[in-house]
Amino acid sequence: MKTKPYGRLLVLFVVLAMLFLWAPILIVVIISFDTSKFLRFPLQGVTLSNYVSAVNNEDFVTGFINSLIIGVGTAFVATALALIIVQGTRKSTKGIGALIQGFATSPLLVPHIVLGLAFLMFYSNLALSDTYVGILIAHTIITLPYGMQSIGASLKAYNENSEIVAKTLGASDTVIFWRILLPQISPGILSALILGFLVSFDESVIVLFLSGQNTTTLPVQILNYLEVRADPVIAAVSVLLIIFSGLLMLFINKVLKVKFV
Amino acid sequence: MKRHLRLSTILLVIAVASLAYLYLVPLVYVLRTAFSEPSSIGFSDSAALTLASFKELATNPYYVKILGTTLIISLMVAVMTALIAYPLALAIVLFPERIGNLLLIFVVTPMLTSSIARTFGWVVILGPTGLISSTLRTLGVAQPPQLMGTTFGISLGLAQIYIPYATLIMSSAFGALNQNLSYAAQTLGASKMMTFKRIILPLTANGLFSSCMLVFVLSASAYVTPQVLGSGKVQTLATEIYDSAVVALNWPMASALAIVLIVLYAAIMIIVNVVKAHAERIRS
Repeated sequence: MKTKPYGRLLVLFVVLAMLFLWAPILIVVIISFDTSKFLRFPLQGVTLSNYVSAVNNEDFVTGFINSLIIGVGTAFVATALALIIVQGTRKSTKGIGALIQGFATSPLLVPHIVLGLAFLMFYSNLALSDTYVGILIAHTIITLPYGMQSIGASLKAYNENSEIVAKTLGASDTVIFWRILLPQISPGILSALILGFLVSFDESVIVLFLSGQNTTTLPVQILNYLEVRADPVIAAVSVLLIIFSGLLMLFINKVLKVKFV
Repeated sequence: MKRHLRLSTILLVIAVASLAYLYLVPLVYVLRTAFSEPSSIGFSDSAALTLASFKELATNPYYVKILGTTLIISLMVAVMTALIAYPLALAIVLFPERIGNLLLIFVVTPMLTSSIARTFGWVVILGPTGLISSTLRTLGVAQPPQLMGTTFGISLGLAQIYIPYATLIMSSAFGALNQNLSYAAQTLGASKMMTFKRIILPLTANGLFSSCMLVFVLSASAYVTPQVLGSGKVQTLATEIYDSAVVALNWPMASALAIVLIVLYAAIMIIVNVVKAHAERIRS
């Protein structure tokens, strides 16, 4: 007879924990279909009109477009930067190479509220406040560690022997980079791009310091809206956001088979 | 052959130099500004170094209270994490593998949804016309207790955001936990409680401690959740940094608060590492 290493108490705990983790998500989904004009329980009826109002709201649409522009820009710049750093330091994993890698991943350790303040003060000198470039630089810095992780992970699986063979056969370093290294680490690069986009798209603290009228992103619009009112329309926006990033994540996991957790 | 090598080195130098200028220099600015004369127009005019902001922080009850509130919220979130994430992580390791994996997916998925959306979910649950208040009112409670605008409400929101991280870290740190050890103990006559106290807890205490500390520092620096769920009634270090910087335009004070936050961060990281090293020394 085998006794289980856990008791009923643990099962009960797990059920309660799941309820706790999922309650706020489920409630947002439910309320997004409510007919009421403001938050109210019990629910009044079922409708899709909140979704219609959400996609017709000019603030949300501009915010979404700004988030897209900054997100895509950040993804490309951060991935290129990550590739340069990983490629440049991969042959010297000790000493200066490790130092550079540590430096480039250090933004993970600095609270965003501190980075936001730092960028606000510094960029106001460079006339970068309320510009796409300013936010793009900030987002690139916080995204870089993720990009380096993705590319670094696929570089671990990289077969250096093919590089040696190519070299013996007379290939130049440029050819080796484009024809041998890049194709082999392309899953890492693709996931760095998507991850970079998502980090930038979801970031809401630094952008609060840096964005103004011209560059308000979707998270900032949502926060501004929430200050004034909390209603089913904002729930619909949240659900759309959840679906959007959920699909991108699913794409990374299923299509690229990259795991980063 | 040489040319390409040089190109990648040149690119690397450019990358590191721009990173140093656009990331490191702004952080040094924060450090420098924290020691400037307090201001209401952003930067200080005078270049003199002063401890004025820090003196204000230590003596003005307003700031002392903010520091206390921040620590209380962080502590509550850490306790909630221990109570919720720890059993979850144990279940993931101890349950049959298929159920454990399924559980892991259910824990991680909320992590992938926008944190603003989840914070809004708490507004729906805790708000004045929200789920809890409405339910209590229907049950006959005329004036249901308000959870929004309290440190407890904020802690709930933060715990929901950080528990998935903590669970992930713990469940991977609990690899040392071998199910057979528990079987062995129970075969030898140990009760479940005894097995937990003598086998499971000692093997997992370190992972539990370091994840709770991580959650503690993350909570101390969170901005969005305290801002939204605090509904203007609760100030934390992070919300005060934002208000000082953007509303009051007192950049030296905002910087001083940022330094306090970073020192708190560093102190806790050091504690975690010291405890970890100590635990390893005991084991060997």
